[in-house]
Amino acid sequence: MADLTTVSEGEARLVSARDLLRVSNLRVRFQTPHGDVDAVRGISFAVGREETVGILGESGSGKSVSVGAVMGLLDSPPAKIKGEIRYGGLDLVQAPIRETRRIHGDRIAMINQDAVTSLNPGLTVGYQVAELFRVHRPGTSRGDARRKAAELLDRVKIPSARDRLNSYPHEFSGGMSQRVMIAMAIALEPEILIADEPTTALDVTVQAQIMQLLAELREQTGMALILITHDLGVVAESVEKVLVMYAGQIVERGPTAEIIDRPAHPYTAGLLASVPRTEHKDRKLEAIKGAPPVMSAIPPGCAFHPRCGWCRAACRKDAPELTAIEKFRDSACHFATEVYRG
Amino acid sequence: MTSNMVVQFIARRTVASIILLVVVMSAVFVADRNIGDPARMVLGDTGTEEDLLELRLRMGLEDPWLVQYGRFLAGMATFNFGETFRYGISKPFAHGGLPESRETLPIALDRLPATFVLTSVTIALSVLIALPLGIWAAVRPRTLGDRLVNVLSLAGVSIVEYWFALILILLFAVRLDWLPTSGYGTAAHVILPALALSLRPIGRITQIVRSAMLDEIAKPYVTAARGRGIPLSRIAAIHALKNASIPIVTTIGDETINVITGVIIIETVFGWPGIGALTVDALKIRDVPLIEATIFLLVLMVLCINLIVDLLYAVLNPRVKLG
Ligand SMILES: Nc1ncnc2c1ncn2[C@@H]1O[C@H](COP(=O)(O)OP(=O)(O)OP(=O)(O)O)[C@@H](O)[C@H]1O
Ligand SMILES: [Mg+2]
Repeated sequence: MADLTTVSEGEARLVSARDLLRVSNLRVRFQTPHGDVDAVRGISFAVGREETVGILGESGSGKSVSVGAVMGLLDSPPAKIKGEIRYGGLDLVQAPIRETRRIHGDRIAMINQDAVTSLNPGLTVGYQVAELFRVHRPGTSRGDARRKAAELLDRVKIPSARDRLNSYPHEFSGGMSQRVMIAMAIALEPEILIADEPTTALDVTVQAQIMQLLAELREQTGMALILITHDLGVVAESVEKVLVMYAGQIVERGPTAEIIDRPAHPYTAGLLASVPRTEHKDRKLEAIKGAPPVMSAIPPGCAFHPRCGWCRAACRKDAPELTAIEKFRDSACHFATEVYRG
Repeated sequence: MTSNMVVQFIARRTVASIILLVVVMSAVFVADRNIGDPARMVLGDTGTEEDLLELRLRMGLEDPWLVQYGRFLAGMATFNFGETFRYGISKPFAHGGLPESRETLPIALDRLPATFVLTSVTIALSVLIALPLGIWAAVRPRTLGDRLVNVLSLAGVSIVEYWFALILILLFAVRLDWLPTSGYGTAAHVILPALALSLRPIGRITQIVRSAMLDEIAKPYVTAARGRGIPLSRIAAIHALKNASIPIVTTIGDETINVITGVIIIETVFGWPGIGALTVDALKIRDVPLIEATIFLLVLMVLCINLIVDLLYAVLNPRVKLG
């Protein structure tokens, strides 16, 4: 297995010098008894080596489903996945599970908001961390795996790590559980870490500590980061690039600072206006009016049009494509340049 | 969990078990006094009224029932259920002579190994088949294989043991002549009675394993483990099974108890010299002391199994506190 990893890493370099992960025209449809749900409707993006990407968007916009597809977590049925997810010469959509599971947890790892329920209540924390080495590095002895597990818990700043190996998850707080999840995610030094709202379930003080820990680990390892969050402050601090999702599509993308400074999509502008920001203290907060669409009944034309102040006849008919309005800035809006110029 | 806690727990449970044992045995005591005159059963048609009175005195039947009950309780405490004047006695009771008798508990204890062998083989066989089958079905829900397992396990639960035993005898012993119809002693002898007894536990355990595993596999920790690239087979056999083990162990315990009740008939059908067959024999001749000794042992076995199951809970679930 060690050999295979080397091969796929080599192939990754051949495929592209910079892009580690390339998602092309990804579509996810859930076939439910109440009809089809188009959760992700043709998104494309790439993540480069050591790059940090944020995914922003209201609840239900398809953020978790998108990364779920990358991690191979969507069961089919009910999910039908189309498009391509390229990593290291492998299409994670098409490749058989015996190949993709060498990538998942090893080269691409994920943490999510439910750290507490993501740990197995019936197995010790030490067992669960050590298991990663036993599965992905079959040569590892029991003792070595345990020693490495202790090192990892120490690295994510769990006090008296060695003793905690024999603890069960219910003996850990939410913040400590998330540290354990992070330890497992970085155990095999992945190239990409996906963090899906890693702090949502935690106390405010703990949230900051966890983000701090993630930033430090990223600094040390140089792993790329895909961060899903509702917190604009976190986005501003932790990622270079942002994708804004609405109703299963990417509606805007670009460098974080520029987007926050000058959004080029009315939805992004609405998101920015709905959170307090230090540099615009005088401005009053406005929530985006209306609610996101039900994913089984997406409005025709631009999905955002019923809630949009810029809405014209064209918006009700034609869905705008994601197009460049400037270098590294893309927006899917008929009036992108107008919005951008303010 | 410290060993001290385990000792305390066992002590508490033992007290509770003893109380339960006394209650159950008291019910047996009452029932026993209402199945006809045991002394008359010994004598049959022979014997005079004096013989009868003498035997009743000797058996303690002339004492007030409270005295009899006290003696019964004392007997239970000292594992002594009195003597039988019938079972295994060649010389019938004769007027004037000292009645011949035997203590009953040793007679019953003698039969315990045979029942233990049959029960163990049955449960081991059931678990070895049901556990993999249930897991196998749970990791492929709603497929043809899963449905097949579902239907077969339902059939296993629904079948009448006694009827199935007769079918087995007819097929494998009478028609094919592969296996002995009845008896004890070789491995071949245990096959048919164990098969007859195991059908129900196999069905029941398979159903519980399947549904408990389905519940676990739907939980977020399973998704998270998949995201870490842990093979599904490992997730099922280690992660999910560990958490599903409580209902599974409960069911295995329940089914072991069911098998212990089942042996009463099956041992008789297959001429298996266990405690079940002895109970039937004792009931047939209304041998009160022997009935009491055999039922005492059967109830004791059931209580031991319950204690073992409770101890396993604490081992299997880190959040269970013994109490
Ligand atoms: N297994 C499923 N079956 C049917 N529909 C699903 C399933 N999983 C997700 N969906 C639907 O897909 C859509 C996108 O869900 P997703 O979880 O990706 O949203 P999100 O952007 O992560 O939201 P949040 O911010 O609340 O986490 C939602 O409408 C959701 O109801
Ligand atoms: Mg989500």
